[in-house]
Amino acid sequence: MRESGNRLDLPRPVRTDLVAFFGALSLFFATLEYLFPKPIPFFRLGLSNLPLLVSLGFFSFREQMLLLLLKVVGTGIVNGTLASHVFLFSSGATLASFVVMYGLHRLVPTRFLSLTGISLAGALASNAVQIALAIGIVYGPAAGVVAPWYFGLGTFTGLAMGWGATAFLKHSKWLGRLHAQG
Amino acid sequence: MPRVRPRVDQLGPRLHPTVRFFWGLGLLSCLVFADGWEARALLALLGVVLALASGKRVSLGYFGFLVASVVAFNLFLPVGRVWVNLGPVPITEGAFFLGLGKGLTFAGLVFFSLASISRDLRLPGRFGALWGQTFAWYEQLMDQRHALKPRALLLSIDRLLERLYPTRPGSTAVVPGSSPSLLPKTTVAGWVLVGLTLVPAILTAVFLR
Repeated sequence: MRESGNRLDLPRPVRTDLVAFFGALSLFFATLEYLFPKPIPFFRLGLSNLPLLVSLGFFSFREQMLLLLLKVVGTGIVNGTLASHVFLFSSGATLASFVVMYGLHRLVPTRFLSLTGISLAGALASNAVQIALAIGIVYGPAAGVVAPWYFGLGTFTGLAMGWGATAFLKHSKWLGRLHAQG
Repeated sequence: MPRVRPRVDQLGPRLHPTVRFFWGLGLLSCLVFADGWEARALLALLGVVLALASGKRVSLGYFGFLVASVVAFNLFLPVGRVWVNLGPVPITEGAFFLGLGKGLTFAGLVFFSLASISRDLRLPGRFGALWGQTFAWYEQLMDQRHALKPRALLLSIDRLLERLYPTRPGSTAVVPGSSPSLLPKTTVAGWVLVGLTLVPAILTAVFLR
């Protein structure tokens, strides 16, 4: 069993409520991150991805996609960036990150890849899409020079989020009880 | 946890969230179709004023950096008259103003978005209902955010989650409904604001080229 657990065997309405709850958690973490000053412009730790990471395997693919949609649209509404290029960057990066994390979670056994590794891969996929969008839409080809720095930061945040998610899964009694219900 | 001073949304009581959303789309279109950095600068300035009036936090340092970085990256692709040579890189007039226009457009997009997207914006269909539920939970989480303790972060998060979505045997989670709060109607002052911002924005986009 992967450490993020198997799919919750709860009635569908309850699982849908949980998707909404995890979506709210994503928004909550996004807001917390927004409140703290950033050490480097554009730098994001990606706290709002924690609920996505922790819930990998909890929900069906459709429910996970719903959670993803709640996260990106919700963050756009709460932060007021829904009608700007920030939303495009955010949705593209989150989608790429999710596809990679979900794929690895489903395809690679736990003994070969930990949740931290999955998080790292997701963060790098997210960075790759953001760099591509930055080159294609905002900054032009010269923006490629910052790619190594950006991937360096992505490695740090991916590892940090993976470590955080693993620690939470290991210690959270709330998640344990939720899983026992399912 | 930083204490956040609440800011007053001056536009909220005057504009229905849907009218506000479409008003924002109109302003965004003006910005996107504007030609030349002067028009974009004027529209971005209007955006800053509206974003501040909507009670949103606007970090001018952040947006200054955004515009400056777009200009800097544009300078690597020389266009037009050479101003000065910085080593092997010719700083050209065309590249500078192209970058400035582009940077102002992206900053302006965010300003108009901040001004026009209200948290009360209702989304249609089943997804809209689910969003309402998510937002109700989000508000509960925000109300209780001071329960998070940095020294015992994981434990305090765990307790907060249990409080809002109980999982202990015998307890049931109370799913909040989306609050049927009365949405403000667009007042006369609101329509005047829409007219007074949209018409000059259209004129700026069409004629300042």
